[in-house]
Amino acid sequence: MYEEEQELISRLIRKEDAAFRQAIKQYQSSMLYLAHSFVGNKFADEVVQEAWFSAIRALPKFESRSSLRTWLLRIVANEAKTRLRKENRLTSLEAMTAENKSLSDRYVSDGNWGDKIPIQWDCDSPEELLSVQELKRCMDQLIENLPELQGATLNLREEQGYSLDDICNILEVSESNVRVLLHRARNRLFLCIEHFQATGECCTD
Amino acid sequence: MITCKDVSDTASDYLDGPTTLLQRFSLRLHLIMCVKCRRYMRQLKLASGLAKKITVPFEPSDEEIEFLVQKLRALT
Repeated sequence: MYEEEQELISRLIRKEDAAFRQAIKQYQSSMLYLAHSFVGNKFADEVVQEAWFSAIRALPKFESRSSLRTWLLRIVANEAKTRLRKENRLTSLEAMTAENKSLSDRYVSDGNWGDKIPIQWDCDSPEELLSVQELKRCMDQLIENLPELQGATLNLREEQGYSLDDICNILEVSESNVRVLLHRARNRLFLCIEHFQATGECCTD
Repeated sequence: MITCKDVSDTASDYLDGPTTLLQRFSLRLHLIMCVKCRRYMRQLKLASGLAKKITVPFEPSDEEIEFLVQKLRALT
C-alpha cells in the first residue's frame, strides 16, 4: 500500500496523464464530498479544482507524514476555508462548539431532565426514518446548512467513515474540538428528528 | 453518580469509542437506572446512524476526469 502510494506520487510529480487519471478516480469523490459540506454545491467543483492545483504544485514537498488521501483532503479543507473567509462566511470555532441551548435548557439545575424529556420515536432504524420522504428532505437540508466545521466533521466521520485522528489532521482542529463538533452536529440531527416526530414538520433552524 | 446532563455531554463520545473504562462504567450504570437517558442515547445513536446512510454519490464522469487531467497537465 505504502509503496503503491509512493509510486503514484512519483508519477504525479512527473505529470503522467495516467497517474492524474488514477488519482482523480481514487480521490475526487471524497474531495468533492468534503468540499460540498463546506461550501455547498455551487462552489464545490471550483474548490476541488483549486485544491488539485495546489496539491500537484506542492507534491514534491509532500513528506508522507499522512496518507496522500488525508493530505489531499486537508488541502480541500484549506481551500474551502480560504474561500469562506474571503466571502466573510467563516463561522468562528467558538460559535460552532457552543452548547446547543435548546437541548441544554431541557436539563434542570441538578443535572436531571426537566419537564421536556425526550419523546419516544416510532422508528427503530435509520432506514425506517429515511423512508419518510419529508424527513429525508428535512435531514438533507439540515446537514447542508450545518455550520461548516460541524458539517465537515459529520461528513468525514459518519458519511465517509474517517477516524477521529484523520479528521483532526484534515480539519486542523484538536481531537477534543472534533469530538465537540460531532456532538453538536449529532444533537442537531437528534433535535430535528424529534421535532419532526412530534409535529410532522421540519425544524426551522 | 453522573447526572443526566453528564450523560448528554459524553453520549456522542461513547458512539465513537474508546472512552475510558470509568466513563463507560458510570454511563452504563446510569443508563440501567434512567429510562429518559436510555431513550436519549438510543435515539442519538439513530440520528448518527441516519447520517451514515445519507450519502450523496459524487463519482466523476469520464468527461470530468479528462477535463481535469487536461488542466493538471497544463500546470507549470
